[in-house]
Amino acid sequence: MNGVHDLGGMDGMGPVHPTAWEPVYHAEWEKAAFSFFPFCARAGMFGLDEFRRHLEQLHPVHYLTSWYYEHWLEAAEAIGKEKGFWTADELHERAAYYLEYPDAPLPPHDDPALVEFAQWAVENGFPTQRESAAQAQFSVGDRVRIDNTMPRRHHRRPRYSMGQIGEIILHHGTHVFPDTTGNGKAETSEHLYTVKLRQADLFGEQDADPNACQMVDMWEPYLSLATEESDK
Amino acid sequence: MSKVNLSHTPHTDEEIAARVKALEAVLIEKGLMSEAGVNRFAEIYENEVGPQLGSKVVAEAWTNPEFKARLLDNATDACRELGIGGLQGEHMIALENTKDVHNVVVCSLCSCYPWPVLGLPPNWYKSMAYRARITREPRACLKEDFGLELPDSVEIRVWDSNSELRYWMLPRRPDGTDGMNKEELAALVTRDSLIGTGLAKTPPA
Repeated sequence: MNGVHDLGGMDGMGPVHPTAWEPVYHAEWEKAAFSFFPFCARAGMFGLDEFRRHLEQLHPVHYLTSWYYEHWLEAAEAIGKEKGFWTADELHERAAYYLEYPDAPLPPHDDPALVEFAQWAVENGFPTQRESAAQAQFSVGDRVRIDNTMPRRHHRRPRYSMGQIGEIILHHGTHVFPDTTGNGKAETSEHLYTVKLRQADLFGEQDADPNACQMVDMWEPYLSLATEESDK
Repeated sequence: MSKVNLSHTPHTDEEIAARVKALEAVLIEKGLMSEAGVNRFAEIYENEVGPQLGSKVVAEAWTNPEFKARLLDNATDACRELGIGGLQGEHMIALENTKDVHNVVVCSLCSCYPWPVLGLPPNWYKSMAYRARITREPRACLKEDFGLELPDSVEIRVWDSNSELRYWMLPRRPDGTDGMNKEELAALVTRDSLIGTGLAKTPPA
């Protein structure tokens, strides 16, 4: 996806305004908006990569000017609609009602399994490492080239990394491959590596920091061995 | 009835709150979510899981060389020894910041962050500005936005959390902390020093 979410290295986004401390939730609604993801995942509605694919489809103007958890809300709305869990009209109608009566209560439901799930999910998470008999094609120290194609689907190659040559510095075993799970296909796993890229290669000697580098994680299908020839 | 705006023009907080509540109501009716479940998640990340846990791990590493070696070898397993781990930290990697090499983490594509040791990310970490600039000009970003000035001789390594590996930093133990106990040391570890946008605090002389 050639989307607005792919922000690494862009100019003009302005200075960062860090905070010494900030509340975990900035509005009461953020608590539920945050929880849509784990509860919908529990319901088997979507996984993390599929969720990300929908975040990446938001309109750029909207993406850049709205709250982060608003993105989460919209991704959850969209996926549930796509999969027939609800209709747009159903959500519109209810939203209009709660806009007019913001203090109207939610329907009651107190299944203790949902509270237990919250506790369980936080403590255990959802590991993405998988057992695999597949032999790793690359080793630490190899110079590799990163795929430079831009498919119109979910993937995790930042734009700045495309076509770049770098050195493998870590090998992490096999992990779930977002290009399948993020695009509605059955889960597959691939060897995962960390590749070290020089700033000067990303941005040119003139503007780059000569003593800085960028580390990026790459699944095996994103990589090919950089030969002496292709290195030039 | 008022019409809720779903275009990409700005939404008011009231409109968003109404849409959140609408979706929550639908999910509750389907038995997939509950107010108590939402509150439990909120409680956990407001009161139980946050940077205080990362600080505890760092203080342990500063005082126990064997633990430090295990942490740098496999942060997920080492943190489990202290009862720390789980969601969005299923595969953690701790990177050591030294006088010569400074590491910092970002998620350029979304907002990935090591929740078990830092809790949920602050808004600035998820901001367009941070995601863009820390890759483009890390040294200037650290200096101008975070007040962390690193000499040109220090190598800066920016780690993009674009997979499910969760990177965070083991900051350098400040000078003048010989004799301090773990609780005192943990108090010197800041959220930013775990992200790599800051250093651990120096104790008052």
